[in-house]
This record gives sequence, C-alpha cells and structure tokens, in this order.
Amino acid sequence: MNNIKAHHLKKLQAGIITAIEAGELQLKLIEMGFMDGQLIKLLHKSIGGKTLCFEVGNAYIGLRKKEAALISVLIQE
Amino acid sequence: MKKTNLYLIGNPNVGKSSIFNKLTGLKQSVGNFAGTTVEKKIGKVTIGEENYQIIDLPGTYSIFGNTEDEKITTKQIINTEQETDIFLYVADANSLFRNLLLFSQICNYGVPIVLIINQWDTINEQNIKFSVDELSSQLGIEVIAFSTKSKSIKAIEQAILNTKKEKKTCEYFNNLKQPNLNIENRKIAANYTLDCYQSVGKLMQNNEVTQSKKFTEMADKILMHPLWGLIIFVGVLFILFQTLFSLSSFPMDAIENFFNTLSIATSDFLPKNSLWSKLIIKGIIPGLSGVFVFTPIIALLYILLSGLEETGYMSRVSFLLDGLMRKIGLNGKSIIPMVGGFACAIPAMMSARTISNKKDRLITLLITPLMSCSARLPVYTILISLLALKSTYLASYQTLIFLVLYLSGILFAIIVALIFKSILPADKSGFFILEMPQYKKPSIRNIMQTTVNKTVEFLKKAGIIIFIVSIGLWVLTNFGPPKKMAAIESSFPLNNEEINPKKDSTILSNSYAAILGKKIEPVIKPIGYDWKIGIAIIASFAAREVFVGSLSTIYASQSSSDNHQVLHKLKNATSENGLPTFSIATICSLLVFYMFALQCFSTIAVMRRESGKIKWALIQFLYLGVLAYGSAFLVYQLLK
Repeated sequence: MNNIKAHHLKKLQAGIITAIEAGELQLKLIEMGFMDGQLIKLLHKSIGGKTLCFEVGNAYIGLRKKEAALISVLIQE
Repeated sequence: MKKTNLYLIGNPNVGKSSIFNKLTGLKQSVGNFAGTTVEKKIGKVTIGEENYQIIDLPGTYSIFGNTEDEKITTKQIINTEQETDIFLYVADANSLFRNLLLFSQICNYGVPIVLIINQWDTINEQNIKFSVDELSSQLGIEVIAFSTKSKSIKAIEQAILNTKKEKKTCEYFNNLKQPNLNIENRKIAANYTLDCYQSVGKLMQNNEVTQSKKFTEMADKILMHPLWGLIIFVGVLFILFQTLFSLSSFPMDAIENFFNTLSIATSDFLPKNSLWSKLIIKGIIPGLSGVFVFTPIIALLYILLSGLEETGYMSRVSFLLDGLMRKIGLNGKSIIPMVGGFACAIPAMMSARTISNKKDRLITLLITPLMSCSARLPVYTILISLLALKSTYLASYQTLIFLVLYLSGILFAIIVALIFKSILPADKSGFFILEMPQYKKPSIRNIMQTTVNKTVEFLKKAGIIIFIVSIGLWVLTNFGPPKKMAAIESSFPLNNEEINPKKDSTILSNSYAAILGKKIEPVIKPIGYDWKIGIAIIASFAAREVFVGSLSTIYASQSSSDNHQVLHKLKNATSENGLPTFSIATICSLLVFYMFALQCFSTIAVMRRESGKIKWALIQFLYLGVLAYGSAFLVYQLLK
C-alpha cells in the first residue's frame, strides 16, 4: 500500500482517495465527486499528457496535473 | 391568483433542454435574467386547464457555483415562492449519486419539487436495483423515470399537478443545516457538501444504479486517444463541411430560382417606370433574396453543430486538445466557442463563460470572430462562384477553397492568441475541471427545434437590417444632386414602356452613392475595389451578410437584362475602363478582407459585455480591421 498524488497514477491504475488538499479547489473537487473513500482510476491522457481523465463515482472528469496533484490516492503496489 | 412558475434545474448536460423542448413545443422565447447577460429560456405549457410558465435555469453542480450563470440558479433557489413555484429537478440516471447532491441542497430550502430521473432508457434494466415508487415514498415527492425518447410527457404533467395540489416538499434531507452561502468560508461549504453527500449516500445505499458504460468506454479508447482522437477530430470537421456544401446546394438553387421568378412576375405586374416598382424590383427583392438564399446552409450548419454537441463528443475534444491549446495561450474549453464560432460568434462568445481563467477567457473572446461564421458563407459562396472554376471540378474546388478559408481563420486565431498570450499579464487563477458525459444519441426533435429557433432569429435580424439597408441603398443609388438628376431626365426621352439601361447607369454614376463611393475610393483602390464595392462594404458594416444583397441592389440599378440572379449581374459587371470589376485579384482580396474584418455590430456589443470593458471591444475591432486591410492589400498587390 502506498499513498501517491493522483497525477502520478499510471494509465488504467486505480486507487482509493484518501484526502483532498484544503484550499480554493477543495469544494469544487468534492462537488464533482472526488471524496475520501471513492475509487479513482486514470483512464486517458490528453495530447502532450498534461491533462488527465479520471473515472470517479460513475463520472468521467478531466483535470490538469496541477488540480490532480491536490488529490491523495492510496494504491496497492 | 399568481401564476405557477416551473423551474427546470439540474447539473449541466443532464438533458434539461430536451425536457424543456418536449414540454413547451415551439411556445418558447429567449430573454435575459434581470440585470444579467445570462440567457433565460422561457416557455409556456398548459396542463389541464391551467397555464404555466416554465423557466430553464443554468446547469450547476451545487448551490456554491461561482460563475454568473450558476449564481442565477442559486439566487432562484433562495428566492423561490414556496406557495406558487415548483422545481423540476432533472437528474441523469447514469450518475445519480453525484446528481443528487444539488437535489439534496435544494430540498433543504423546502420548495415543492419533482424529481425526474432522465436517460432511464440508457441503463440496463437488470442493473436497476430499485423501484421508482420506493424512492418516491422515501423522499415523499413525485419521482419519475424518464427518457427523452419517450413520446409522452403525461407522467411529468401529472406529477406537476399532484405536487401543486399537495404542495409536496422533500423532507428527507431535513437533518442538514441550511448553509451559509458565503463562499469565502470554503471549509464550512466543503463540510456541508460532504454532509449532503453522506445523506445522499444513505438514500442510495439500496438504490444505486450500476450501469453498463461499455459503449462509452469503447468509443473513448479511440476518440480520446492522443493520436487517433486528433485524426478523427480533423476528419469530423472535414466531413462536417463537405456535408454542409453538398447538401445545401440544391435547396439554395431552388430559393434563388424562386426569387428570380418572383422578381420577373413582379416586374410584369407593376408599372414599369414608377419609383415604387423600381424600389421593390431593384431594391427590396434582390436584397431579401441575398439573405434567404443562404437559409439552407445556415440551418444545416446549426443542425450539424448542435448534433455534434448533443452527442457529448465536444467535451472529449476539449479534453484532448487542452495541452495544445495551453501552448498558444488558450484552454481546452476554448474549443467549444471556437467551433461554435463557425455558426455564430455571439452565442459562441457567451459559451466562453465556462473558462474560469480570466486571461484564457479574454484571449478566447478576442479570437472567436476569426472563426468563419455562417454570415460569411453568403459572401464566400458568391465570391468563390465568381472565380468561375472549371465546372466539372467546381464542387470539389469550392470545398477546397472553403477549407483554406476556414483553416486560415484557425491559423490566424493561433497566431493572434500567441501574440496576446505574450502581451497580457499572466493569470494563475482558474482551473480546468471538465465532466465528460456519456455518449448520447442526439435527439432529432431537439436539434430541429434549436435549428428552427436560431435560423428564424438569424432571418429576423438579418432580414430587418437588409430591408432597411436595401431601401437606404436604393435611395442613395437612385437619387443625386437635383440639378444633375434633372439634366439626366431631360437628356433621355420619356419612355414609359421600357427601362432604359443607359439612363439607369448614368443615374447611378451621378447618384449620392457614387459621390460617397468616390470619396472613399482612394482608400479602397489599393486593395482592388471600385466605389461600388466600397459602398457594399460600408453597407455591410453592421452585418456582413448584407454585402451580397447590397452588391445585388447596386448592380441591379444598371442591369439591362431580365436575369435577376446576383451571380450573373456580378459576372457581367465592368469598371469604367471596360475590364471586369471582379478580377481574380479583387475577388481574392475581398475573400481575405471578409475573413478578418469585424463587420458585425452584435459581436462588438457582446465583446463589450463579456469582457466587461469597451476597451477590449475596440481593440478587437481595430486589430481585425488592420488585419483585414493589410492582408487584402498584400493579396491584391501580389495577384493583380
């Protein structure tokens, strides 16, 4: 078990969200379904790889690396 | 008694608009929410014997939304009159848990509410682990499983009646404390949101839907692939424009022929030399024909673009291109205004509101008019036809030139964006969070309704301007200094039977239009235009689509034949030295001029409103003007 930030997830790798960094975007991320205990999976990378598409809950959400770095994820090594 | 207002509310992309269209049919109008620029769609619906007003609120994920659109929705929730108003909450069955967050927050305000679970048809029945009736009794309100495919809206209507009669409010979430909406206190807002989710989670414990997303997942493997996705996007754009031009040519010819016949019939019917018949035959009919002819192509563009948006594909493109767009100072979300700009810059610029970074949004606004909008189509079409390319290859050449014009627009948008990116101060605020909805089959009815509304709007706006401009132009081209006009009248013998082309042409070259046109000739000569084209450009300053109608009105004044087709008149036009007015150099110069020039008052007004400053509207108008004149000059000088 290892705790990483969501932008470090490999393609198709999944984990459990353990924390959302407090700050300006915390509320917005929670609203979109990024919450402690939720399963998160990296599905796609944009051209250039700097924008990431995650599956969380039943939704597909695109985030930039900067935003994804606010999400802590517990993964199984 | 006060009329009941129905408010459609929900997350973005849940199908509120299709439900709105289904409920109201064509009885809808568009306005603005008081004191804002946010579009307000209002419709009328009669249920039983009572009339209701239905309002489509902007989609939002929660009551803490901070864009102008989202704030409208929050304000409405707080200010709702519990005695008379009813909320129709639309949730997407595919993402019920997330969708019920806003629902729980609204319920907290104790308003009568109906829950409509939309897209019910897209979930596999085996995966539905709950009954709607059970959910309805748990919540204490009407709950409807709905699919926009279903023809009947009876269930929704019945639910509205029941809710109104019994004032049904949902008390399930009463344990939540009504929040302080002060967004500054983010910690409290975040905790409140988590509490809401917890309550929703408890409700959904036995009710969650596990749907199959096989199609979306499979399609995304290709459409969201960095390489294949990009190739497909370029292909989609190409097919879009190819379809546009091949499908629209037949109805366009039909409309042109109709106006042709109308014009001949009218000239047979009206007295030949009366001033009024000249106004109708040579002013109004050619002017209107110049716009109506392009209705098919504009309607088709709206059909194709709104169809594309409805499928959910465009948000994938936003995601895919985000990295590339950032390199040029834009944002993945800029792609929606940019593609929308191919139809019309005005709604396109308003759709840039979803971009939260101020600099990204400003640059998007600044470059959107560089996308060739539908109003330029009439101008391009007529100019390209004037190039008279070999007829056997005409169709494909035409598409190719169109493609070059569209691509040049995009290329210059990139260059301009790069320039503004380096000039404007950096803005670190804002974020990129974008939901990609499940793919949906677009609803034909929905697309048709949007198209009809937008096309009628276009025709009304353009029709009125063109009507006024045609009359103005007719006055300018048929009247001149009284002394000169009297001299012309006396030098031509009076003949009531026939229109004398030589006389008409003499009147034109001595008219007020000629006087004005010749004044500006020194400015437009270097870019290849004579005074008549100059007048048409001035006439189309408020709206570029006026150009074709104006040319046709101006050249109708000296047309000798009964052929009223614009193209024919322009092909035969010659300048004073006997050479064709529309040489290849002049046509190409006009093409690039219209590609850049911001000849649209509405765009200028929207830019001022959206950027919040008149300064930006002026900067935009000026930079596009300089670009238009400069490139037209270069093209003409190189080709002449």
